Amino acid sequence: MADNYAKNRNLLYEFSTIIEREKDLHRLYFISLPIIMIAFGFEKGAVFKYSKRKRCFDPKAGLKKESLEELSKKWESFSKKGEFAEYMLKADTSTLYETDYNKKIRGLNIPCNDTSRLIANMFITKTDRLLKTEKIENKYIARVLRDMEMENALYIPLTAKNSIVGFLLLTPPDKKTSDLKFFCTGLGLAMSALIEDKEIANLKRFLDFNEDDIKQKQRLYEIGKTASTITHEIKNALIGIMGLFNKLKNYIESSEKTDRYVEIIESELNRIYRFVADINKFSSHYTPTDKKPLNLKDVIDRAIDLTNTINNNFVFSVCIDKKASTVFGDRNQLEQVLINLFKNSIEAYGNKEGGQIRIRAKREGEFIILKIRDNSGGVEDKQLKEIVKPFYTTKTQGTGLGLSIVKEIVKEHGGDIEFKNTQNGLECTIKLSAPKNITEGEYEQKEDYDN
Amino acid sequence: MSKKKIMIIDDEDAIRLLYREEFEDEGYEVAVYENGQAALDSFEKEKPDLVVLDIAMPGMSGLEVLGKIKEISPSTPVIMSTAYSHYKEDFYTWAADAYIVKSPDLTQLKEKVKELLSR
Repeated sequence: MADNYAKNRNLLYEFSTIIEREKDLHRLYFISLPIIMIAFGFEKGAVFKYSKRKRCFDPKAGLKKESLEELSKKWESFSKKGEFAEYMLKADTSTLYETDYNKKIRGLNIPCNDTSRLIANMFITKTDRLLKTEKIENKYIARVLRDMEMENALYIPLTAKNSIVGFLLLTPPDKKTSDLKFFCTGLGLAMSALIEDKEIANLKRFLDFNEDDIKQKQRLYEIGKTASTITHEIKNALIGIMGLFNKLKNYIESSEKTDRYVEIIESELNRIYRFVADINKFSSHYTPTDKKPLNLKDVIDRAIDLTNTINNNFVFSVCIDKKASTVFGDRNQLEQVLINLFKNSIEAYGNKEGGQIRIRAKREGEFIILKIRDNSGGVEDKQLKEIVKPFYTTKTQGTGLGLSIVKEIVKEHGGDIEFKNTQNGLECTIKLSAPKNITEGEYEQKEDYDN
Repeated sequence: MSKKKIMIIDDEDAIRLLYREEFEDEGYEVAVYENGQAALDSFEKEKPDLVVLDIAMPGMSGLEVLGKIKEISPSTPVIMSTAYSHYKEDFYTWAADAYIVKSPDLTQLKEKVKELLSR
C-alpha cells in the first residue's frame, strides 16, 4: 500500500510536468488518460471534452490494452525524475487509442442536458458518482459504457473554477482513491488554461481590425450592459403588471368605453414588452444553444410560413443547390435571421401587390452561401453600412435592432453578412458553415440518433 | 391525493402574487418567499415538491440558492426562472431541472411544472 502511494506521488510529479508543458489541448488529454489509468490501475477509461461551440461533450475513449501495458512497462523502466514525462510529451498519441472504436463513437456528441445536470449536481454537492450501465438515464453515456463493456464506472468531472471542461469514465470503480482528485483537478485546470489561451487568441484575431471598430465595440458593450440592466428591471415589472392586468380584466364590467380602454392598455403594454424584449435580446450575449446539421429548406420554409402569417402578399421563390442542402446551426436563431430579413423587405416594399423575395443557396467549400434578394427598391448606398448598426432605423416604428441582431447571430455562427443594392432592390448575402464530416443527405440519419 | 406544494422564490411582489394565484388556481399548494435565505430557512418545514427560483435577487443569488437546495434535497426539481436568457450559459444553472425565461404568459412555466411533477 505504502509502495503504491509513493509511486503515485512520483507519477504525480511526472504528470504535473506534463500538464505544465503540453500546450496542445487534444494531446494533453490524450496523454493524461493513460497516465491516470496507470497510476491507479484502471483497466478501461474514456475522456469527454466539453465543446463550448457545440455545447456538447466529445468523447475519446478505448485506450488500447497493449498501449496501456507498454506505457506501464515504460514507466517502470525509467529511473530518473522527469524521464517519463519527457517520453510522454513526445509520444505519438494517434497510436494509443483503438481506432475502430473511436471511429464508432466519432460524432457521438453528447448533448449537454442530462449529462451536464448530472455533472453540475456532482460539482455543486461535491460528490463523486458511480455509474452502472443499467442505471444510466443518459443513453449516450450508456452506449459508451456498453460499447466498452464497462458495467460500472467511476464518473469524475473535470472542472476549473465555475466552468466544466469535461469528464472521465474509469473502471473498475473500486480503484477509487483520494489521490485521484489531484490528478483530475490538475487536468481540469490545465485544460481550462489551454482553452482560455485559445479563446484569447481567437478574440485577438476577432478584434484585429482598426481602432475605430474597437472603440465602437467597446461603446456598444457599455451601452449593452446598461441597457441590459434597465430592461431587466422594466421587463420584470412588466411581467407582473401584464399578468395581473390579465386577471383584472375578468372583474371589469364590459362596455364600449371599458373595452376600448382595456384594448389600448393591452396593446401598449405589449408594445413596451416587445420593445424591451428586443433590446434585452440584443444586449444579452448571443450563444447558439443548439447547433446541429439542419435541412436548409426546412429552415427557410418555416421562416416563410411564419412571415406569411404577417403578410401573405409576398411571393417567395426558393432554389437550393443540392450540395447546399445541409447547414450547421441553431434552428431557431437561423429562422429568426430569415424572418427579420423578410420582415424588413416587406416593410420596405409597403402594402402594394407584387412584392418578391428570391432565395438562392449554394455551397462554396466549407460554407453555404445564401443570397436573399428583394424588389423593394433598396436603400441609399451610404446606408448600406449603417443598416446593421444597432439603433439605426429607416422606419418610424421599431428599435433599429433587427439587422444588428441578425448580424450578431450570423457572426456567432462563424459566418458573415453583406448587403448590396441591385437593380430594383436589396440583396443580402449570408455565409454560413456547412457541417464538416457530414456529406449531403446524411444529416437525417445523424439527427435520428438525437431522438 | 394530497396537493403538491410549489415553493416560489422571487423578489418581485407582483410576480409572487401572480404566481401564487395562478398556481393555486391550478390546484397546487403555494409557498412564496421573497429571498433565498428565508426560503432555505423554511425549506425543511415546507418540504416543497418543486421550487421555482428567480436568479437575479438582492442578497443571496438564485444560483447560490440552487446549490444549497440541491445539497439539502437533490431530488426536488428546481426551475430557474429569470428575465434573462444568458444565464443559461452559466455552469451553475445546469444543475437546475429546467430553465425558463420569464414571460407574462405562464403557459410554458405551468407546463414545465406539470411535467416535472409527473416524473
